[in-house]
Amino acid sequence: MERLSMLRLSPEWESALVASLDEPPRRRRDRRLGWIAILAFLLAGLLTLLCLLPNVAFAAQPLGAWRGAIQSDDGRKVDVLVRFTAKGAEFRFLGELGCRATARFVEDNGASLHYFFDWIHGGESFCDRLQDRALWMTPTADGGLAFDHGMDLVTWHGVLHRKELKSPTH
Amino acid sequence: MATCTFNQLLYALRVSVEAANEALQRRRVMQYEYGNTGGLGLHVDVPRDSAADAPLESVVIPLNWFRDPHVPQVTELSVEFDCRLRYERGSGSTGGLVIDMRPPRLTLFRRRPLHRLRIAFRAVDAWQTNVSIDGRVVDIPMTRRG
Repeated sequence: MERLSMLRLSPEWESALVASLDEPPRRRRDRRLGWIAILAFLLAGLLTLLCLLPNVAFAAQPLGAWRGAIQSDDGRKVDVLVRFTAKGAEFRFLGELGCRATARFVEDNGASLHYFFDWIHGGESFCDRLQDRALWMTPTADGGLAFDHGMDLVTWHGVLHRKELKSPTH
Repeated sequence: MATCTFNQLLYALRVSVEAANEALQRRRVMQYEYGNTGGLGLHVDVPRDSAADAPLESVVIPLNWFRDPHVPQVTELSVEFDCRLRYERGSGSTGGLVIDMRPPRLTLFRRRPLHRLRIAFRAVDAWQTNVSIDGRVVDIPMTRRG
C-alpha cells in the first residue's frame, strides 16, 4: 500500500489555510529574491574589497612614479627617478651616476620595505656595485620614502616623494 | 509515496465515516429483525407459591427484552497529523501550495515550520468538514465545502 505523502490544495483551500497561519509559506521566487539580495550584498562587498585592494597593496608596497634626491656621506648628491611596480622598482640615477637598475621586492617587515638590486645598466662604479645589494626604504611621516643604502664605506640616503604629474622617463 | 488533492482526502474521509455509521445502524437493525423473527426466548421454571414443594410453572421471556433499545452511531471521526506547507516548483496548476507529510529533510539554512493539521467530521454537524491548523479553525471555502 502506498503511503500518502503530499496533498495538493485548490486555490480556495490555499487561501483559507494561508489566512489561518501566522507566517504564511514563502513562494520559491520570493526565497530566490532573498538569495539574490544576499548574493548581491556579498558581491558588492567583494567589489568594495577589490576596490580597496590597491590601497591595501600600496600600504605594503608603493606603486607608481616617485622622485627624490639622494646624498652620500662624502657630499655627492644625485636625483633619482623610481617607478614602483607590483614586483619591485625601476631606478634611474641621474647626474654623475647616470645609470639604471631594477630591484625586486623582497619583504615588508612592518617598518621598512626590503628590495634587492638584480639588474644594472650603464653608469660607472657606483652602479656596478649595486648588483646583488639590498636596499631598505622606510615610509616617512609626510608620505615619502626614506632611501637608505649602504655600500662599502659610503652610505647614500635621501627621501623620495610621489611624482604626481608625470611618470619618469627611462 | 502517493499524492492526491486535499478535497479528495476530505471526500474519502467523509464517505468513510458516513458509511461506517450507516453500517453500524444497518447491523443493529438486522440483529433486531433476527431476534424478533427467530422467536428465541429464555425458558424459566418459576414456583407458583412459597411452599417448598410448590409446583413449577414454565415462563418464556423473549431475548429481545434484554437488548439495548438504543441504536449506536458514530459521533466523530478526526484525523490529525504533522505537515509542512510549501509552494511546489512550477507554474500554474503545478505551482500551487501543497501539504507535505513526508519526514523533514535535513537542510543547512532553512527549515520550514511544522504545522499540526486536524480534520474532523461530527455527527452533530451533519458530517460537515471541520479543519484546523495549529489549533486555529480554518474557514471552509464555500465553493468546495467537503
